[in-house]
Amino acid sequence: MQIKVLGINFKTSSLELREKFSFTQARISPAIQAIKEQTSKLDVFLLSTCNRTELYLAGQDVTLDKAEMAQLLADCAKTSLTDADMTHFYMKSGPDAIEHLMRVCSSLDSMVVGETEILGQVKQAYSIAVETQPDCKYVHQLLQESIRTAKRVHTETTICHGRVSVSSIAVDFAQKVFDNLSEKTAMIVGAGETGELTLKSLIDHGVKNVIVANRSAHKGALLAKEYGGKSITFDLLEENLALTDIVISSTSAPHCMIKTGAVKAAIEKRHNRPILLIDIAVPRDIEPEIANMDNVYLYDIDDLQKITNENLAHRHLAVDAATEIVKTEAIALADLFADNSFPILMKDLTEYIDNIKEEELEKTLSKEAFSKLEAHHHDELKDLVHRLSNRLMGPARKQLAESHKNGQWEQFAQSVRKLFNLKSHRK
Amino acid sequence: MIWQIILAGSAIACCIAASVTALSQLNRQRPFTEKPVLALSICSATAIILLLALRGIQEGKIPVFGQMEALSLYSLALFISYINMAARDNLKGVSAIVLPSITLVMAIALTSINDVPTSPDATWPTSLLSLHVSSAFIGYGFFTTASILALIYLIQDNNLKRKHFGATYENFPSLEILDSLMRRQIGLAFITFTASIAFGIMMAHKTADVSKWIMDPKAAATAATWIVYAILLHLRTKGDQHGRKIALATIAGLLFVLFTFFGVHIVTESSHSFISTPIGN
Repeated sequence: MQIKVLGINFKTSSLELREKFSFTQARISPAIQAIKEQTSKLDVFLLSTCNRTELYLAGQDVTLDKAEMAQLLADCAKTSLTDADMTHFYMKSGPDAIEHLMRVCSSLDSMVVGETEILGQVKQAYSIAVETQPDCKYVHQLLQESIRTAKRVHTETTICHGRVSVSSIAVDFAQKVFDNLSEKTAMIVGAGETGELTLKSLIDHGVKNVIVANRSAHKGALLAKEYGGKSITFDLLEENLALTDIVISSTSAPHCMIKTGAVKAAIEKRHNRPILLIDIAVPRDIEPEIANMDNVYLYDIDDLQKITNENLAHRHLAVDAATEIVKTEAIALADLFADNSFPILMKDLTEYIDNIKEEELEKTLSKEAFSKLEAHHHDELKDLVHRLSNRLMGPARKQLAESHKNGQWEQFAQSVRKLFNLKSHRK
Repeated sequence: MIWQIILAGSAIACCIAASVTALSQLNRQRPFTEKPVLALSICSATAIILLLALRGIQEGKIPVFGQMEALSLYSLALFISYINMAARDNLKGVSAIVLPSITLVMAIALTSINDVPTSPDATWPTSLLSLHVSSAFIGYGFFTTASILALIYLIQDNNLKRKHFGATYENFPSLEILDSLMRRQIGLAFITFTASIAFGIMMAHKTADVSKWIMDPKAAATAATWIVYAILLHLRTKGDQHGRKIALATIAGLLFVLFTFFGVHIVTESSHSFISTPIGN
């Protein structure tokens, strides 16, 4: 079996070029179909995120070179391909391509090392690939092993530890000060993008009461409506401070919006209940002296940046251990693919199950009770059968791959062939 | 004696194991698992109960009259207080501070295992004495854990203020959880301590020399402790006060508890001295 990957990412290309070759989710499936038709039915996997677009081709014989694969991608993206564009593409094949995908899934190749969003994006792309080409056994094997490797990296190393975004750090602070966030009130001062993201993150973690303080009453009201909160103007800010547990401030005001006296009064009214202040504005919105007051926890943009850097540095310490895991897993998978007996058995097993599926579906749908059903009910039934077979095949495929690694392959393969009478079936 | 040594050894071994388990969890990045720590604590508390029961049966009196008995009871009270918290809430790293403290008290208690306890006055009503002593010790236990929680509150407050995001920041509960646990512990301590005082007064009235007990320095220290905690409880409940200053006041309250428990016997003579001094002193 051969595998090749061609791609561009944030390290090799500009945003403009990545935009040119990006695919929305709706366009991935038609692109896979088009590529499959032009590549003698190779298995296709297309991953497109804001930081990368990668095309994976797998099959018994992948003969396409870098230029041909880039042209395929350009055709599907309905864009032109220039010589200058070509210099930004990278191509890997064989074990290097497998290792590359495992690095991508494990977020070793991400802009923020250790972020887990990429794994979700890979799973989504995998799901589209499987829906578009149900018989893509190499993609199945490649993706399942890559996802498993990523999970291993995430649990066995500290690569995902520590928060690295302003919004997640703010949530972390809130959880260290307060017990139940659903009983807390968060106030956003100014309708900046980062402030809104932080507020959204707090809402995702349970915050229900929201106050939006903004210079423009209209914009504030719109934002408050979006998050089911109340809107106030800046002149009512100090009055509402005592009711607020978490303040996120991100205005573009040239002077401090929240003064020491106001916070002191608020703390007294709150009977010394703690208050968390996150100031992400430059210049600062909250007087820095407030940090010295008891029961007030103030963090500015420098504090947040420092934590981000420390956590990122901590994650980078885990890169070597994570790379080691990826290398080991990639070599094992490459060995598996190099041995033809594995894909042949998987193909036989898949064919056997597909035949049963088709036969049984045909029998069932031809019955009178089912023939009266609408087309979408038929589709649902087909989906159900398809999902069932995938659920059954998944663990079997995993165990067979494991047996290959453990040197028990011959024994396992023989048992599977005997159990399902595969030889006679092929005859 | 051999059974006493076995039980004492089991109690301290389980307590050390619980402390080590709790402390080792404090240093790792994974979430704190309370179950093994709680199980070992229950084993240790059970061994203490059996040890005290055995000593009581062998000596033919309630096991409170001696340093070993008093400190073992104090350890047991601390365990009861800790188990009461751990069974209801996710305490995270709190056990890493509470359990080593209990281990220390138990270790001191076991140094006096060979001492023979004093004998109580035959005229004292045993049931009232048992209620008086047990409720006092449970009160001490709850007061002490409230102060340990206050200390953890200050550590977490310092972590947040000074931006120290290490193991204690990760593993200690939030400030609000600590504050609410503290309030509950003080409330329970105040109820049991008040009950102990009431039993003590009832007992004093049943003995020949009431004034001897009323004028006892330990009684005065107990009254002072009761007043301190009454104020603290009032500030927390009626005054709805929270935060750093209340945590500091809770730690200060422990000084009164420790003075009432140990200090009185060091600085003056008390009619209660039988509880914490071995025979012959």
